[in-house]
Amino acid sequence: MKLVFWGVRGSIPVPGPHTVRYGGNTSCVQVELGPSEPILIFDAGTGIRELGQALSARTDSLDIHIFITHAHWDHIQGLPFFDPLFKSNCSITFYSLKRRGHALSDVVNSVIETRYFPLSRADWEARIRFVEFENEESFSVGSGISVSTSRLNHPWIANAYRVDYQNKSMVYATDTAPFEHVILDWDFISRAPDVSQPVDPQIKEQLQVMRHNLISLCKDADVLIYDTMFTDEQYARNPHWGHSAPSHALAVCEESGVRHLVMFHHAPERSDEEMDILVADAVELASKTNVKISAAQEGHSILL
Amino acid sequence: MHITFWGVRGFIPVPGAQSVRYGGNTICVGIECDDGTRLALDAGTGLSVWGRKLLGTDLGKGKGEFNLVITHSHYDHVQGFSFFIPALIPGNKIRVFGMDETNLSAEDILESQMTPIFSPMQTLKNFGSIITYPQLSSSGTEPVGSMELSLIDVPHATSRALAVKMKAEGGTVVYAPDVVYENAPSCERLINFYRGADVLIHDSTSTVHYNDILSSDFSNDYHDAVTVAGKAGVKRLFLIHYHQEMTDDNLDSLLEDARTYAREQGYLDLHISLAQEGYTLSL
Ligand SMILES: [Zn+2]
Ligand SMILES: [Zn+2]
Ligand SMILES: [Zn+2]
Repeated sequence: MKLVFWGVRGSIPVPGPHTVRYGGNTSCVQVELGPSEPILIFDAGTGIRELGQALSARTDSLDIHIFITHAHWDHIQGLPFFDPLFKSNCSITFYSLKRRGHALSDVVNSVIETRYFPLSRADWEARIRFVEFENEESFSVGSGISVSTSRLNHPWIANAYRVDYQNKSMVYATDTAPFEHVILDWDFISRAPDVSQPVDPQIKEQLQVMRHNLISLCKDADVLIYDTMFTDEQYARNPHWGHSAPSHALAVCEESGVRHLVMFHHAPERSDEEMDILVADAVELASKTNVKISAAQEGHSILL
Repeated sequence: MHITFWGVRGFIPVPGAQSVRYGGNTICVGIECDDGTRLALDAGTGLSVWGRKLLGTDLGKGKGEFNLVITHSHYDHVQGFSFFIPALIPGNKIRVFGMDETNLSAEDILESQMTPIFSPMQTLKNFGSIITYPQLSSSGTEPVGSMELSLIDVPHATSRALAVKMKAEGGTVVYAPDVVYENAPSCERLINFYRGADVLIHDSTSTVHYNDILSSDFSNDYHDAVTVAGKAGVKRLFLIHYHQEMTDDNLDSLLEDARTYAREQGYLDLHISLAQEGYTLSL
């Protein structure tokens, strides 16, 4: 199993001299299982464009599976630029959590509406399929490839994915707030909840269930790719934005027995130099644990 | 009048080592006048970069005013608005200009990007600032601070787009980021609009068929831009709206080729440059 990072940012792509090393494209991670195995892709931020170019060089028939965590722009905005959609040798299956009133095919169609983008669904030559799953559902996407899911704490609900293949496993968990102060789902929260106030016991219990499910999903995984957009201070100021800090990610690793944490969904305003400092801080924090920490970098890969 | 290029790409932002000199943000040009008037032309990701720089001004305190023209609804012209921080600060006043003859209003364009499934903001109503949408007619002009603003509709791909003219003390600037010259009459009408401009900021993808926008051997094209600028007698032409595949080195050659072509066509006084992120031209 090989994980390839094509886009590692959250919120908005950030080109420029200050992001050349870590990368400025929005979220997209590829999981390579072998030359004749299906191609698994997690999220379709702007990073998916270059992945598409790499794939379109291939002339054999490609079985591509795109797993969407949620439809915020930074997770789907690269889709109209994904070359294999326009290739007849490709079959592409999209996955997402079932959201009532928002069929996945409608969401994808509205991303490529002609008023936003000049090419339309009629130009797609790939065979397209949509799969919507229920919360906490597991399924297989090929022989010996199992995918399981768990809900995250994020506005309009994102979900984490786990892939198991030949005794190797990875979890992709972005975007999420820690499961501590506020439940994020359908409502817009305009003012930051006060994190120093006690949490309603009923809400606390629901958050613990969510967290427990995520920890079960991550159990003994080889790698966990996790939303670490915030520092602890930023989280305390904006607990309602649906993002975590390295300390939250590390706690999940320790409780679930994950050995390698990959920091992901980097904040758009962070320069390469600032990222270096954040990573050093996180490594320091993890030095008291058995967890190895690294930060996702565009163009880099992890071989398991 | 100061013109700053905040985003110069068409289609999709391109981060990476290949775009650090000319820039990889989608399109946004900033106009600032000495009296403090600010106007953004389009809201690509470049607008969010400008927004962060503006936090040290009155716009950071919720006491600022800002103007924006969105030329059309394609992503590369709107995707930066949700990350334009001054729009999130209560007290700021933001005017988004549109033209009443075009069927898509700027408000509809922006609002359709902010639905809960796509944006954590859920709707423009949650933005905090006061956003208004003044409509101009195609024949009229509108004073914006010390500038006079006028719009014209131009043919473009599957929809229509706007070109923008700004007249101020220092001179006249015309912005035409996405334009396809369908036929001679439509070309004439636009050349008349450009005529007399000190600066024309023009599309460099106009002749390219849209089905080619994903192809990796795509190249930008300067012929239309040079021809209309030459015919309209503008003094300075800036090419903009680069394709995602154009590297900094490709763009260097584009500039050289455009200059050679202009000389061959006899437009000896036409000064040609490439829009480059972070560069400011003062008139
Ligand atoms: Zn995100
Ligand atoms: Zn999100
Ligand atoms: Zn454009």
